[in-house]
Amino acid sequence: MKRNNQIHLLILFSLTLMLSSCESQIGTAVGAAFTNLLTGAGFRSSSGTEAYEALKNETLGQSGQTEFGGGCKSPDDALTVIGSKDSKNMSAIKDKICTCEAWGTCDSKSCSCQMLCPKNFNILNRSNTAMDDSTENSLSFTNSDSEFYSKYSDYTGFCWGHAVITQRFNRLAKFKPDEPRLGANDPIIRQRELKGIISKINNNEPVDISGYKNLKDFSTDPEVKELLEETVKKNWARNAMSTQGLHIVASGEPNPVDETKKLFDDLDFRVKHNQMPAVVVNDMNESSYAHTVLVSGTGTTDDGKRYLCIRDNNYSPERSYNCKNKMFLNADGSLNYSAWPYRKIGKIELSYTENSNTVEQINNLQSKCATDKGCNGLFN
Amino acid sequence: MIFLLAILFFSTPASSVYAVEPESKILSKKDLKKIEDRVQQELKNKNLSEQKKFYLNLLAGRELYQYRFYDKAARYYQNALDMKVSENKSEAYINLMAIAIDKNDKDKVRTLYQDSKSYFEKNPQYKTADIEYYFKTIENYLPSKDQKNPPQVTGFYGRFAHEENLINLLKAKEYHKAFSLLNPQGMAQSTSDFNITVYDSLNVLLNRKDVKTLYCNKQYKQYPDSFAMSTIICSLLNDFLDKGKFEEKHLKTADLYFKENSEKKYIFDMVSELNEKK
Repeated sequence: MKRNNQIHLLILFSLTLMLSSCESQIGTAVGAAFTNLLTGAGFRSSSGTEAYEALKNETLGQSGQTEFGGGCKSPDDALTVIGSKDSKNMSAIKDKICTCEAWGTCDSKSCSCQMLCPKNFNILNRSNTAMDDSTENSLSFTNSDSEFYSKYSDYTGFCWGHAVITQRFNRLAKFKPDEPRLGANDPIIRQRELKGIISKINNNEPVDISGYKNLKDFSTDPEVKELLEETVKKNWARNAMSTQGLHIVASGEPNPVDETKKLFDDLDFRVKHNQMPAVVVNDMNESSYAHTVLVSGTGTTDDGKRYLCIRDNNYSPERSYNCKNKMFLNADGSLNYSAWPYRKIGKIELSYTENSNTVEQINNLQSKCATDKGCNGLFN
Repeated sequence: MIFLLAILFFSTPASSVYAVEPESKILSKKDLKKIEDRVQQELKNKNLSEQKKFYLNLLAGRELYQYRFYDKAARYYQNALDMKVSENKSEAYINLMAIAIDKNDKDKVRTLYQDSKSYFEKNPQYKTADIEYYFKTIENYLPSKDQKNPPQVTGFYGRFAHEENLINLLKAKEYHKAFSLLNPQGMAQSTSDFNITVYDSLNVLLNRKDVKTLYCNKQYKQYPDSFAMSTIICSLLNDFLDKGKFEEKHLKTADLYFKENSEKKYIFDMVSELNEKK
């Protein structure tokens, strides 16, 4: 028996060693998840959550250190530098005028690749749209269409898919309005190219979209809109029809107050670091009535009540813009949502795909940035 | 050679080119192999209990599902189902159904649904209210042979259930039944091209020239040449209402579109009946 235990421990030790030698952070996190299970720690956080927490801890550990590596962030700053005595040397001016930050305009000679293409949350703001909840940065269609069926209107649509797709475009897409549109003269080629873009978005990869101004413009084109409607439904099903999605409707019992407060702290961190996270809520008395929205901001009222700004896909973007929809955390831990005046919020959770998607997007955005900025192989 | 490859690429229907989405890049092939090799090794380990092996399969399925490695995830979930253990197997059943739904493989969903029903009958302690709710949704997703009314589903799964039931009715050519589910008063504010296309098509097919309003016209007038299903169907409906038959040019575009997007051909089949009926 004792010998068996020793063999078991030896196997687990070698398993941990082997999986720790995985190339990627996720590879290591997956290894840790298996090790937890086999060492009796059971199912713990998923590897996506482990990897997200590692990034978060790294960011928190760096807070206080300057993230700005030189250069100017605004034209006014640049003019000040040009006017200064330091501006004798043209290359120095160039270095000062360009921006040395994630996706900045400096090249890799005047700004380090770690600054230009960091593997952290700064990389999520590729087109300065990660935190933009305006109409231009939103899908042209809402989620609801709740009056379509004659007998039943009591459903919440494909909200989860709508939220996830909006978030992906906001983080991953770069619109290039001055470049010619895709496959202009052949509708079949054009449709295949559009499907290719959407496949990449679904795979959390960055995309360049030529011939369109922004997400609203893109999703207004009927050829794009029908593909997006389909992908919203597909993404909804991927999330909602899984065990993890079903878990959301299992109970409307609110979380303990401390957990809700912790979630608010976490959401606060996320919105301050270029993320508009997706959260799922349900009705306390009718747990199958659930909805997924994006959190576009956080705040505290004058009387000390914390709130989340909710970007709700059931309504036109104007109705959510600039924190018009709020979800308040009351002192007793209960929640009030301005768009659900007749319902009581039960559970509130971070979408289970949030961490894995974010980590994946950071990896893919960083690779794209490294290629674009000539940083491949220059990180060490 | 490149020319030949290009012809092959562009002459293949899109459904076969893009049906399989690219694999997640989050795990390198090397990492993935390393992880899978180790899991396989553990599963062969005689010192590991069957219970632990069951959870190992479940965890491997869950982790791979998270990164959309659906085929690999399905293999581990299936392994978990095949094991003779008394543990709760609902996660494996539900996520295998989710994977089959993602592939739109209704036969596979039906098999899993039937297997899981017998599993929960034998293990009622695991059959919770949310599982019942899930099953009702699946009953709307699967076409029934005699198109019996599936159970009503509201809330989170409501729209998916209604839409799948509607599609099943359209495919079975149960047009009156399908139309009776829809609300004409809700059309003015609809923003869904799919919903508008279905409503207008059914309305014209059943009420023919009595139809006074096509909700698709707002977008059609703005984008008359768009290669989108909503535009193409709208052009045919307008042709029928104006001239009693489809314009050759519009019919040709529709043929091209539905050859490329064969999964939506049931809509074209429905509208084509206008050209046949007198």
